[in-house]
Amino acid sequence: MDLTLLVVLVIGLALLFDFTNGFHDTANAMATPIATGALKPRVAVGIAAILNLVGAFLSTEVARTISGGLIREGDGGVQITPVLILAGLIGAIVWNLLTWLLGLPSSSSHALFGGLIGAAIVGFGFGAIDGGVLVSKILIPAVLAPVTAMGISFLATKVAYALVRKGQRDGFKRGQIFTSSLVSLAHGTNDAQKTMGVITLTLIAAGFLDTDAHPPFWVIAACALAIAAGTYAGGWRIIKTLGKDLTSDIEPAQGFAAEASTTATILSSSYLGFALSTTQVASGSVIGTGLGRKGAKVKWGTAGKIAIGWLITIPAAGTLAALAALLAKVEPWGVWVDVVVALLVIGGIYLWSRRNRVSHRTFHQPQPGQFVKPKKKPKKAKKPKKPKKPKKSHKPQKPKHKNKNKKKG
Amino acid sequence: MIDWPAFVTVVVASLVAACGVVTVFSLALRLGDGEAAWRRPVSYALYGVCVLIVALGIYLIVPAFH
Repeated sequence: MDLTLLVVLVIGLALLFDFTNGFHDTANAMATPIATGALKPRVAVGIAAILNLVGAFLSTEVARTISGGLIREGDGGVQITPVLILAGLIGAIVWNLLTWLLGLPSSSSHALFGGLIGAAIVGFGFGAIDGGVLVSKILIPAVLAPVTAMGISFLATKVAYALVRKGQRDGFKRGQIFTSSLVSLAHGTNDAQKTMGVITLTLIAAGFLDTDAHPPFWVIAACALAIAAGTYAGGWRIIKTLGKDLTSDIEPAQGFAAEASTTATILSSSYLGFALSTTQVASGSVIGTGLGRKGAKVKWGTAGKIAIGWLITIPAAGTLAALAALLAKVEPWGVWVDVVVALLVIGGIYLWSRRNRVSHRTFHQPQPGQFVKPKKKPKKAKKPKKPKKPKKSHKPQKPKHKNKNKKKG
Repeated sequence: MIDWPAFVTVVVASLVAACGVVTVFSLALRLGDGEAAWRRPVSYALYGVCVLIVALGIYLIVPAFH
């Protein structure tokens, strides 16, 4: 197959993957503010999209390996060909769409790694995979991330409820906007970069770019736009799972505590050198905040489904990619069949999803986007002394209150 | 294989940061309305601390600042 055409196909699929990555991960940042009514659904995804776009342009570090060390790439290792990358991307995209259809917040990075692993196994056998890295970078963190976030979010929720009285808790909605925005920005700087890495390394492998070249501007711009468009499309099913189905009735204080925990955990994990998956941290935080408030219920059935989703993401994306890679080996037309089948499956999943649509309209908000003013407590006897502006309406009220109190007393 | 010291650092740092920001914001909300004259300024100062924390977050996120 013509190399240029193949590279074009890989770039197209990489951007499609970037798009699915965007809408898969909108929920991490925006599920709780949408659930609590801190932001209107459309406004929330709009903010997330803009921050992802900005974040993608801000990230300068480029991935040096496609698989983050999972596959023994480079000197002394295997050379991942564009055909294998194509197969890996197909596996990752299809798996991302399937998990979206089921409303499961699974890690897009894991789907990509899984797809590449599956394709690499078909290409080079099991020896190409670094099992140690798989365990230490993927499997153990997959347990640690949600558990850590759960504990932190639990404590943060307790703190929030201990310190703030009931009538003031709607004020947390304002805070939620900032914590969620930070998660979105962090997502843009991290995740768009992965697709940029895939495209750049494909261009290098095909000889269109020098080794150690930086990604060209058009690659950065295309990836930024793809992830922002995906984010704006909003994976409403996943937002529903994370915001409504995992923990019942998330309140603003819980949303703030959960997002603060997510932000703190993600930022400290990426700057202290122990990478944790954003999706897993965000899900753990939502569970933790459900445990932290009396009267909130965590739906463990949903949590179990999500955990199973995480468990099978790598093998499932790997299997899909391996099938695609096997098909691609059939010389003259294999790759084309791959692409056509992938597009048919994607279209099929989209059509299937229309049978029960979940959109921004699903999220009923009594007063969308408005800060509910805290209920004023009945004025105490002391208060009327304070006001500097003498209001006529105040004076007649004073004796009423006092009288009431006296009668009760 | 697993870098446990790094993990423990991450847990402690996240815990301190998350509970810290929630404490500061909660106190700011709590002190936002009340009778005593000192409450409002303290509340605004605490919101100011929150703004600084957000700025620190942005500093950490944007690689160009490092």
